[in-house]
Amino acid sequence: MTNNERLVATFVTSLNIEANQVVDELEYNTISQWDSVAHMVLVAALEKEFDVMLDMDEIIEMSSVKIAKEILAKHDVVF
Amino acid sequence: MSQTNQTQQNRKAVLITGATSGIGLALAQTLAAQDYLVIVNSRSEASCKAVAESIGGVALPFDVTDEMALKMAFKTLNSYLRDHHLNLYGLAHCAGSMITQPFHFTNASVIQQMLNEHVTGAFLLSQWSSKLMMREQQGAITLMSSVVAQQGSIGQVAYSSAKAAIEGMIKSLSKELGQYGIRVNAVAPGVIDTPLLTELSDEKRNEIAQSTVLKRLGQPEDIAKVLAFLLSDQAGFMTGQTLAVNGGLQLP
Repeated sequence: MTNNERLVATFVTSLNIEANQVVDELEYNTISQWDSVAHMVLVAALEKEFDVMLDMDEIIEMSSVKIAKEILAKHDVVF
Repeated sequence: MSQTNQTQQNRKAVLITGATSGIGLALAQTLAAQDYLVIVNSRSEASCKAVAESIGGVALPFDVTDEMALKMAFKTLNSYLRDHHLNLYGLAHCAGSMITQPFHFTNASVIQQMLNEHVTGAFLLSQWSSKLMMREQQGAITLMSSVVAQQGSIGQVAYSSAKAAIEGMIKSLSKELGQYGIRVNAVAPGVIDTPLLTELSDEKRNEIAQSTVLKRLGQPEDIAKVLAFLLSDQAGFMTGQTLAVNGGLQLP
């Protein structure tokens, strides 16, 4: 599995959405499934999947799939 | 972070701050006896290692008032848990000092210190810990209040302010974290015979003991047993509560 596939799978599981919804443009709070509660479930799942610990600023900043990739890239996760 | 034995897998991991003396140490010993894996924290690396070795736990020294040190400690903890296929199940924040000074003799730095140790420390520890607990959608957090949060005490305006904040914190925190399967409770000890009381004379200690219904000072184990209960599945339907454990103490 590539890192992108792992990221998509994590979004699908955490937000209970379809894989084709996980595109760079998908933003926090633009679908009902990605609310503040699900956001923390997603963060916890991403941290576990990619073995990282995100700072609180990064959790707040992670407002789209694109930005999630950028943040994970800072933790040496290559997409 | 040192490992002191090789049989930790499948044990519930609990981080205890202030685990090298007083209530924290009693809790560390109580939980270790119940087969939890205790992550032993205090500021002293040597003390952490000594306690960890004595109970088969893991040492994680850091200062809870140092935000950067706390963050780095959680990254270390995360790596340790990953390497040992463990999850963080519990947090018990027992670290913190008590300063007793008349109100008009109390500098602003004193209340800042009390807030840093008790409130900001609890806030950040809960933030980082709960993020680890969310991975398995379960966990338990216990914070320390005090009898003075509800009753007040002469000379403890700064300390009681910080402890009262803890009671508000656990109520809101329990509402935010309940949806992730994480319970948050507090214990409000009375006067407990710990190193925090070293400055009290025997006469004062006896006077306090006589102010309790049970006519004695509390022992660290009295509090540790209740904390262990709150962390356990036996308290699985309890959250947002502060339990008073004070022998029926009524402060003047």
